[in-house]
Amino acid sequence: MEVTLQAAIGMLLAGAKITIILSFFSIFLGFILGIIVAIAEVYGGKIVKGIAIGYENIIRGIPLLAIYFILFFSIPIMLGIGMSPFLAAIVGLGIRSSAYQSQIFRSGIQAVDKGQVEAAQSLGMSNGQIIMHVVLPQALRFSLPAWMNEYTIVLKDTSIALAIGIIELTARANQLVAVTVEPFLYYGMAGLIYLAMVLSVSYFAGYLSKKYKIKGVGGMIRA
Amino acid sequence: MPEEVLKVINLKKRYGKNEVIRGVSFSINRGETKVVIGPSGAGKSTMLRCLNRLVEPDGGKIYFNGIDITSKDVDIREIRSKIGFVFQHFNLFKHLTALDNVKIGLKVVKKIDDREATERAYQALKAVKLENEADKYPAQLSGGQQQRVAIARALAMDPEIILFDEPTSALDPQLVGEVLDVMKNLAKKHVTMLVVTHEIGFALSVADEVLFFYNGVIWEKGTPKEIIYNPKKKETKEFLGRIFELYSRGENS
Repeated sequence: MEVTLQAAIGMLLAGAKITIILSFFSIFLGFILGIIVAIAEVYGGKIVKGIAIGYENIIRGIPLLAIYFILFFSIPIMLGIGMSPFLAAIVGLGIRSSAYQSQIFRSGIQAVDKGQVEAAQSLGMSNGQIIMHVVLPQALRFSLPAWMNEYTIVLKDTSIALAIGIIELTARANQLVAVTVEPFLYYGMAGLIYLAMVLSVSYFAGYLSKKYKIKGVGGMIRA
Repeated sequence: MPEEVLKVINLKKRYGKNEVIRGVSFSINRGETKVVIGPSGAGKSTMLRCLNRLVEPDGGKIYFNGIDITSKDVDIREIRSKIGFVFQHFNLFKHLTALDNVKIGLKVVKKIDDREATERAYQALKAVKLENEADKYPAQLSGGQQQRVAIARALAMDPEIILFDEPTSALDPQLVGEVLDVMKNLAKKHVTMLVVTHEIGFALSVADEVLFFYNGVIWEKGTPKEIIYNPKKKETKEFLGRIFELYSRGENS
């Protein structure tokens, strides 16, 4: 079957759009959970810390594909509540990413020197105020390069969501290959689109590092 | 009768088997400057940190304006906001300008609106002669300037007492003077201060009393002249001998 180049590009870009949307929601979910887990790991009491570390290790120990199958096939059977494929795709990737993001933020938080925390305490700040006003503004800056790298990983791992029926970029390429039997061409094009997206993210990361660099501190960080 | 801002009775702190502070008692009246000297590892910094419970004491009582702040019922954050603390390593917030470093306590802790907080922060920076560096970040300032910003940060909160933990020990020798000048000024304005330092000259010029801290207790105390020129105890003499030797060596080189 013949497919015009224009139609093929249109299909792939439609898939890329799903990829981007999926990656945004997933990284955002991972961000929220990751920060909470990181704070729990650094500042939590024994039990909270234990739960956070347990969560992180368990999630990091399960392949993303398995997380997807658990969310999409096992949980509906166990609990009788289903999720749409798209929601399952976001939740699965978000949870997976949260375990890695928590490690990024944890090291960022630990890089803020203890003296500043003591100084904030001596002013009378509460733990929450110290985290919001002193620790996180610096920890997030320290975490930025590694976090942008994590985003590129999430961006590419959206492709695994095709296993639960999400028609994203790789799935679109699959469809094109199925009708044209030209794998080199269409997987190649999909690969180039992924590459363009990842390079854009890296470029943006460099811009952000520069913009949020603390004056007088260190050199520019390349992402 | 003079008003006691801080009264410490039989303060104790141990880390495991190591008893760092072994029963310390003293008091400071409003407007006084007291200087604590003594060898490293004697527990001076730990003692200072116990006074606003950055370190939890194991025993003894600390009265701040007559209130026992070692009690669990006390809102320690409110107490801390009234006790200034100046650290050896300045501990400025690196992501904030000098002005914002001074402002943050006013805004976040005291909930003062932005305009008034800015005004008060400027006044505090003026008091340490840094109003022209208000927009600089800590990493763009010299050590002496950073320590002066840290003093302004403590001052802006309008504290009843300021605790200084070796405020000049991390500074290059040529920067020590500017920080001591600021502190001497505060002493002359009768800001209540408790200063842990090795700067004997500072003690001689402004201290009302010098406490020699040794082996986890106050070994000897008296007026600056008594302690520095005429110490009674062997350990005090030895410590001061070493300090003087250091200073004279500095002068000869």
